[in-house]
Amino acid sequence: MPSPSKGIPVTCERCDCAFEAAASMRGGVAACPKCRSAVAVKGGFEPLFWALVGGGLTVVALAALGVASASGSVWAGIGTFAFGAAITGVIVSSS
Amino acid sequence: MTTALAKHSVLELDKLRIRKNFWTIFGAKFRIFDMNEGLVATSKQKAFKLKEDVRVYSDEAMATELLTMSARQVVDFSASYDIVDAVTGEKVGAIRRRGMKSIFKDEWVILDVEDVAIGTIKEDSAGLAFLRRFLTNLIPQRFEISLDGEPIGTIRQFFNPFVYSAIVDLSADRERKIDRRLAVGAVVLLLAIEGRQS
Repeated sequence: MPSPSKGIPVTCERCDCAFEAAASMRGGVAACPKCRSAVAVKGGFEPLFWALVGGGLTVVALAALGVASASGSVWAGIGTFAFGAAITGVIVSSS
Repeated sequence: MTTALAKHSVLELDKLRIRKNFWTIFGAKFRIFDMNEGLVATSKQKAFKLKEDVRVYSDEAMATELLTMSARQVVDFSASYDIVDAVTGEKVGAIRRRGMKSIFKDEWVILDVEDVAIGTIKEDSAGLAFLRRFLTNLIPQRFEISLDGEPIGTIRQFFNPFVYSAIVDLSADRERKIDRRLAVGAVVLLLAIEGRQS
C-alpha cells in the first residue's frame, strides 16, 4: 500500500484527483483512486543510469584524446568527442 | 469489464500460442494466435528505447493498441513494468522481476494496481534453469503462473533453435481470478524480456 510518508504526489490528468503514489512506482504509472486512470509518476534521479552515462562519456573523451594525439589534430579529437557525445545525447534523450 | 478491450478475443481465450518474428531487425515482434493458428493479437517491443516499452495490438497492422507495458526505470536490477489498458487508460497491474533470484531461476512477481504482490511467474525447475544458463539455452523454458499460491496457468516454450515460440495455458483459472489483461500483458512482457536470452 502507498505509504503516506514516502508517497510521491501526483495529480490525475483526467479527473484532477490529487493523491500519493507508492514510492515503488517511481518512474512508472499509478492508478488514480477516483477514476482508475493510469497516471505517470515522476521518475526522479537514477544514479546507476547517470553513472553509466558518465562512464560512456569518459570513454568517448579518452577515445577523442587518442584520436587527437594519433592524428596530431585537435580538431579530429574535438570531432570525435562531439560525435560520441551526440550519440550519447540521443540515447539519453530517448529514455 | 464491459469495455471493447475486455471483449477482445485475446483476452477471452484460455490458451494462446505466442511466436516471435524471426526477421525483425530492430526491437522484437510477437504474433499471438489462438490454438487454431488464428491471429488474435500482435506485440511489438520498441527499439532504441532505454526504458523497455512493449505494446500489444489487436491486429497485424498494429492500428489499435490493446495494452502498453513500460519499465519504471532505465537501469534496474529488479525491474518493474506497469501494464496499462490502452483502450480505457486504466492501469491493470504490474510485474516485477526478482533480480537476485532470477540469476539462477527466472522469477517474476505479479502486482495489483497498488503494487501489492498477488501472484508469481516462476521458471519450472532449478536444475533445468541452471543447465539453460550455464550449458545450453536450447532447453525449452517452462513457467508456472500462480495467483495467491494457487497455480492458474503455465507458459511452455517449444524446442526451436531459430524461432522463440510458446504456449500459454490459463485454463486452470476457471473462475478467472486474474484480470486477463494483466495475465496477457505479464506473459507477453516476460517472453519479450526473457526471450532475449534465447
